[in-house]
Amino acid sequence: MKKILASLCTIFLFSNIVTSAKAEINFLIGTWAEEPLTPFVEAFEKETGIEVNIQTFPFRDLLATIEVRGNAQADDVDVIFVDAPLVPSYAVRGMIGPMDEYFADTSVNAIFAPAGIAAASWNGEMYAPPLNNSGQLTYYNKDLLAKAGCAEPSMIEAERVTWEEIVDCAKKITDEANGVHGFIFDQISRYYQLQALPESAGGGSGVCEGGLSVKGCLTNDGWMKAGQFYYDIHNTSNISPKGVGPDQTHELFGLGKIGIFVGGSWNNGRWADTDLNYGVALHPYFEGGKVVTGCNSWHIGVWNHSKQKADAAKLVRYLTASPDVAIHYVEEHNSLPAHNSAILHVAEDPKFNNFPGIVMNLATYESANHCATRGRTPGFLEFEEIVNTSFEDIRNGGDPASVLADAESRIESSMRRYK
Amino acid sequence: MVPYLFLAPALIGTIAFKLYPIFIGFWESLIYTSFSGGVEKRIFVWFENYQYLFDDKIFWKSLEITAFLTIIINPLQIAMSLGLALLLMRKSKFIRIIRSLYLLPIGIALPIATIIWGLMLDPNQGLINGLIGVFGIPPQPFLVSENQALWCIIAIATWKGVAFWMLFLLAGLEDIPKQYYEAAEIDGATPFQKFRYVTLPQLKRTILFVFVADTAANFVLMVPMIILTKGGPLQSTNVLIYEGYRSGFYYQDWGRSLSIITILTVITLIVIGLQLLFLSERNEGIKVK
Amino acid sequence: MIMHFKRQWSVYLWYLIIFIGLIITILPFWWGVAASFKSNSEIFKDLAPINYKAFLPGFSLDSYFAIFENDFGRSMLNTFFVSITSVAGGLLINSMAGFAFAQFRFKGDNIIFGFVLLSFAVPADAIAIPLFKMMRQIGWFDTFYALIIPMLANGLIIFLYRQFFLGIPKELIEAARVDGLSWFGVFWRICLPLSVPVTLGAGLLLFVFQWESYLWPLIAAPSPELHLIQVTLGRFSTEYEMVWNQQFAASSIAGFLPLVFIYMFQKQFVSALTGVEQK
Repeated sequence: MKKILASLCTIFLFSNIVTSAKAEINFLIGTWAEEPLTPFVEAFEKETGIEVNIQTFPFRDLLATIEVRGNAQADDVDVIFVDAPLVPSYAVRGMIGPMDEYFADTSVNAIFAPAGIAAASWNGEMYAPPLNNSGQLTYYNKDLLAKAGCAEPSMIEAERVTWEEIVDCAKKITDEANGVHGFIFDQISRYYQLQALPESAGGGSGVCEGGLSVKGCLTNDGWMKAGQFYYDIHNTSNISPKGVGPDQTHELFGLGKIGIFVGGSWNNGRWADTDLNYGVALHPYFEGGKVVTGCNSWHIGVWNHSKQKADAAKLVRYLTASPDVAIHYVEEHNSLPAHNSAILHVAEDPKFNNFPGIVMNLATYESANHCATRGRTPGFLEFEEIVNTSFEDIRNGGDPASVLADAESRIESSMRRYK
Repeated sequence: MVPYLFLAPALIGTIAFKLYPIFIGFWESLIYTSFSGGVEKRIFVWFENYQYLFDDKIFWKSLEITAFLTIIINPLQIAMSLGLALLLMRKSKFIRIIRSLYLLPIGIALPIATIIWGLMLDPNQGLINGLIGVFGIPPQPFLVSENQALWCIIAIATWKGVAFWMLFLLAGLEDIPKQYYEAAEIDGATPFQKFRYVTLPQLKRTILFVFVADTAANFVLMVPMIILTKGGPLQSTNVLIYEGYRSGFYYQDWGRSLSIITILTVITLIVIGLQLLFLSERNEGIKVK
Repeated sequence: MIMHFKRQWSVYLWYLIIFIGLIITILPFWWGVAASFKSNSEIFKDLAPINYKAFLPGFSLDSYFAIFENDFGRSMLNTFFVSITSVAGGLLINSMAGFAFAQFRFKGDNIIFGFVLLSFAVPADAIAIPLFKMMRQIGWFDTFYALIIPMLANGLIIFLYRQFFLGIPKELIEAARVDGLSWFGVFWRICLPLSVPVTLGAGLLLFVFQWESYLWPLIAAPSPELHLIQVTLGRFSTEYEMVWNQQFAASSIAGFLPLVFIYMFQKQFVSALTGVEQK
């Protein structure tokens, strides 16, 4: 027994000391991106002779790992996945460096759609070019809508459904005794999705001009209207269930327990193996308000403490600026493109004119025309966390006005660091 | 010399990997990091981060909730563990298997236990609401209610904790010489008297350990908050450790985070110190130079 | 007759309480196991609304195949290795320290004991960042050393042993000393053999500590070859969803393993755990 243990020890302890000594590009990405990106990373290695070591992390862990490494100013990271709204945060704190010099020989505007460039930049410099994009749509259960006698929401801009219409219809569908609810948000209580509410009501992103304050920007009329709306659907009309997390919403819709589901383009194909009879339509807006949807997804940046910035930048450019990667992402992973050629591809390929491929087309349209980039602030990490909890508090019955006022003062006080 | 030799390995480990990081953490709690103008500046500000905390009503609410949780959960878990351990001392054909089954929660990591309980406590279609519905009780909001969420977390932590602490108490009970009970029986002691005059005094040291360890563990309980409530609804489950954790890992405000952690550590030390003071017996060890 | 009836009644009551307790204890676990044999949509189908089917296991082994494709096996081996070395090393050094605190009064003992208390009063996650920087400096970052060595010294275990050793009669130790046994001999031959039950508890504490650790292994040893079980479990979710059945499959296995551990040592620790009949 002792001998076995001793030899196990030696094997375990020495096997991995050896592995960590090579010079290579360390690339931190999300677990979900490993499969789509690996072939392209391998092609990159072959083409350039630069070795790449991919390290994958689930979403929350990716952010935590980046923070921990940043805090230690670690130089064993070279390229990182950047969540679009975190570009200012990483840029201001010196975790990623500006990339304009690596794109000097070409026009960034020719490669990427404007919303992607906007999200990639801070203070006029581009930090992390976009890998892909996202969009929000209205999915609806045809059977439940027909039973309730609601008109189906439309795919045509002139007939875009309003939040008021959705609430009316959802009230008719809701049948709590049988666990059926009229409406649910995909990413429930998350700023990414709910930003569309205050934006549509004219309240803006919640972050004030300049990105260093939220004073008066989270408590304006638009945000109050959005807060009240969110309160009402969970506490007054009860058309949307409480206590369900963002991991479960699409399951409920797939089971036919939800009438209308407003959610991301990535849901397409998710219900393929269910007998759900569903349709898709444009994202809702408040009657008389602005038309706005959530957008942006993942960007890739060069780690500021990297010792091999030139090689790292090559990889970033290879993955983001190449039309092949973008089109592959569209074709294989239902991911919206941020790259102009892939956007064109979606517009031209006839398979995106029919259901369910049309989801890609609609979402691309929404993102190109009604994209509301998330609040641009170096304090986004704390901003998002506090806004998310505040939405959840409102959902659980907190008074919208006081919850938002509290959130505003908390965020304002944490933003003192950037002023 | 001898005691120091015995202490050395553990002491070196404690100093290097626990005390030194604690000291660094405390030091960092005195630093304010500013990114003004896009330049990172670390400024030593003495206790300014603490001052900020003391003006922050979120901190005070968090402190209040931590105090409430501590007062409820520790006695509850100890009482239940002890009760269960006593129940499992009874002779039965099935005692082996029963004991083993009661130990199951030890193997289920808290995050998983939390996820499962979260689904069972679902306010819409959850199992628990289904069960209490049988008795005619209307569905409860549980984790989405300001008044019930903390109690749900207490329940989850207790489900997991009781099995664990029961194991120590069971070991302690097994350790009490049977002759003591036999002697008490000959004297005609009632079961309660046996418990009061044999079990409790004999188990005192084990209970003290479990009490101290459980208290320390519950001061850092935050997995259910991370997974289920995010400190809500309306901050009703926002205990100090969670507020400290999210100030650091989510808000990147390490000055604030480490100030909270330092305060929490001091509170933990005081509570544990008091428990030791009141429950411990004097150590009559051998005096050496 | 009345005596007999009373006795019977108390036995029934005992069984009733034990039975209810067992249901509460097992039900969540049972449901998790049942769900691990189902597809994700099936899990939710049986939950909304909840019905008895939620507690009947499905027939699909897909989630089990999937998790082993995801290197679950490797992380399990890693966790076993890390846990067992931590238990072995931790038991030795902490029991020695506990012995010192229980048997001797020496200069500074109260202060040192205060430091021991401090070491477990501070939340492990709070010291993760300074410890991480330290691991990088001494070159242990991303190695098994980082996972094992900082976790060996454990104030709680020291305290546990101290509590137990305090209960060993002083006469016994003095007699052994008179017989010419060295202090280490007293510790190794007299005190340790007496502390079997407490060692089981301490070992389990150390084991569970590693078994449940998440944040530290995540940041200190990110390489896939070093992943511990909770880190791997955390990976059974994607950007937008949680892969429920894989979570449950992995935790069903993970949940049984510590029990196997308890059973493995049961023979050695009979008196501590199941020894009612033996005594």
